[in-house]
Amino acid sequence: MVPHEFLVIDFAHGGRAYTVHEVCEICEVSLERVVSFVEFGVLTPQGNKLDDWRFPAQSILQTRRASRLQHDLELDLPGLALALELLEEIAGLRRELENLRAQIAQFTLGG
Amino acid sequence: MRFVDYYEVMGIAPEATPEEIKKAYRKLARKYHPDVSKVAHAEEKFKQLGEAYEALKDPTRRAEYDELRRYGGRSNEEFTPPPGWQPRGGQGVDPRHAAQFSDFFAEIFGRDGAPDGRRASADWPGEDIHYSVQVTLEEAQSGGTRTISLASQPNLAGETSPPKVLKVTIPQGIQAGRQIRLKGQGQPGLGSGRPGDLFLHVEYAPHRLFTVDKRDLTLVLPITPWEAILGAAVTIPTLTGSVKLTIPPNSQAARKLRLGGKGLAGDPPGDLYVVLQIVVPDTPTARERELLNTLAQESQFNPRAALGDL
Repeated sequence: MVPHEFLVIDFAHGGRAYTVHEVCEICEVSLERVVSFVEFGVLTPQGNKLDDWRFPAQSILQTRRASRLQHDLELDLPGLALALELLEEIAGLRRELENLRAQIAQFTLGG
Repeated sequence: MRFVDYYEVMGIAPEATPEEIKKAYRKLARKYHPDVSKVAHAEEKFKQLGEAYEALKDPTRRAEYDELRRYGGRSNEEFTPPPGWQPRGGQGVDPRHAAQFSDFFAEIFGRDGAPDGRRASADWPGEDIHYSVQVTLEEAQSGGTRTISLASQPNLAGETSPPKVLKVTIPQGIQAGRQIRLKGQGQPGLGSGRPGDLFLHVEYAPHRLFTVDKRDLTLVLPITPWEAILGAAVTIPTLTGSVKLTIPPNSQAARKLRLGGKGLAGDPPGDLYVVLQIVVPDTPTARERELLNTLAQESQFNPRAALGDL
């Protein structure tokens, strides 16, 4: 099979920012929903007014993830915001734990 | 076509009340939700749960299903519906579940849970696919290309579609935790529904020498006790070749030295942290022992002063 060819874009650099309407279109969610996500800190765009909002590329995934969780687990907005915050914190702690474990393993192996 | 025991999937008794079904669904949904769960095969289990719930929550569908179960359906056994079987319908199903239904569900209830669903009267967007790509630190440092083969997840009836082969360009300095969206490369939609998207999640493969936090690397560097005391100039590895490092005199074990900009490529590049590990020889030579004995006799250093008089 001939592979499809894709360019993978690192969102940290090449990723451009999205307008609120682009986020709605790509994620297939209503404007009200995106606004409510911003109000509860689930999304943090740059800019002050709705028309000036610019969302980083990660917001696309965050929006989908948030609306999936909200729908599938029947979460209200404060509960959703809390769940997402805790998930992010757990992910960070897991990374740190993995790194520390790997460093300790190196210490004991070399010793 | 294999028979699927939805009661087994949900872990409930066949005589469970609608309330119990709902409760079991909520509990398992939290446990297996792919956005939350660290359980193995969570995504697959969540899809199976969604299908089971759609079959059992609607009284009409549940009655139909119970009838088939009595007719002789056994979990995982080959199953053919009775001759002349017609889906009777029921409430519409959640479109997010519908695209994932097994042929078993579609055969019994119709693809979208409606009696004529088998003819795919409905248009639903396809499901997104999530896939983790392990990138080595060397690849992340220099960039590169990679061919990945995506095997589709089997549904409840064990059906899979052929693997999708993708050639992926990994840009220099890509960070773990980044997600890449490939539009339209997910599961096909139903009817004229658009296909889902494919998301690649970048992870770093474990490295023999370095651990990584964002763009910063950490290297555990073994040194001798006398290098720790006297200081030394040593050669250490980085991702882009070896560099000289000066170990300052009187360095304690686990001292952390920072080499700015020697971490992963990027704007700005990460730093390289070197953690000193003092290693003693397994079998010191006679001469080494002799010299150390002289040191032991003459040294006044007491590392246990803080423990008090013993």
